[in-house]
Amino acid sequence: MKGFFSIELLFLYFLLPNLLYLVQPEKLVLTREIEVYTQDAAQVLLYGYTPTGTHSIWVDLEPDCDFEFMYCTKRFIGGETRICAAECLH
Amino acid sequence: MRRGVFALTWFLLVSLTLISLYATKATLLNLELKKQSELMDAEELFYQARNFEFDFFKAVSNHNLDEFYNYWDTQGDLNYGYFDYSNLLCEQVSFSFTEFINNQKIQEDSVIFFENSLCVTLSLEDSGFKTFGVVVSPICINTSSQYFSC
Repeated sequence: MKGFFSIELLFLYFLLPNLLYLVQPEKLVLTREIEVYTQDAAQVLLYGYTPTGTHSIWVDLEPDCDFEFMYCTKRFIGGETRICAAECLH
Repeated sequence: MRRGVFALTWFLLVSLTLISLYATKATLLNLELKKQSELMDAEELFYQARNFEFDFFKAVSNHNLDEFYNYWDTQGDLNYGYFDYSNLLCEQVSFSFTEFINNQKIQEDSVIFFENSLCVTLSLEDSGFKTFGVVVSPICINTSSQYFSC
């Protein structure tokens, strides 16, 4: 079967580099970090303070940057208030 | 063996191994993300229950009990009434929430007291998780403090 081995090499060429994807650990820590930060920031806002940190926070606003993961929660601050936080990529 | 059979077999072995690894990884990732999502739902309930009492203190202090009742009544099963210490139950009353709370409170300067057996409870349930927010007298609310603590 002439040429078959070269087709197989072509398939392996595309399949083998994805081994790097398989051995990478999942970014599940990121979701927990953002979620914990959002809850803490929401508590700080509930108590009347301003949260600080490197993450971006939106209070009843739509996000205005690119992010990998955003978490939103709600608090009763004069009315139902939606609080979202994420780490902007840029 | 015919020429190419070894190559074909080797190709199938490698490719099927990689495909099964991908499938295993995708399955494990989906399971983990599902578990994380359920945990986050449970934490949302925890924070709601934790903040229920604080929001009640804030509503009493700021005289917006109607907004408090309208908001929390949509979040879970809200009950209010007299607390029965013998049976440890919150006996519901037929008064309106604002009327009931205002009749119970005693105010001296910037401090509000609830001495009688008042109770306000909120049952929360979401994604299989359950918890409660509870406010039971005696209660002391310092309206001049940011945290309403006496």
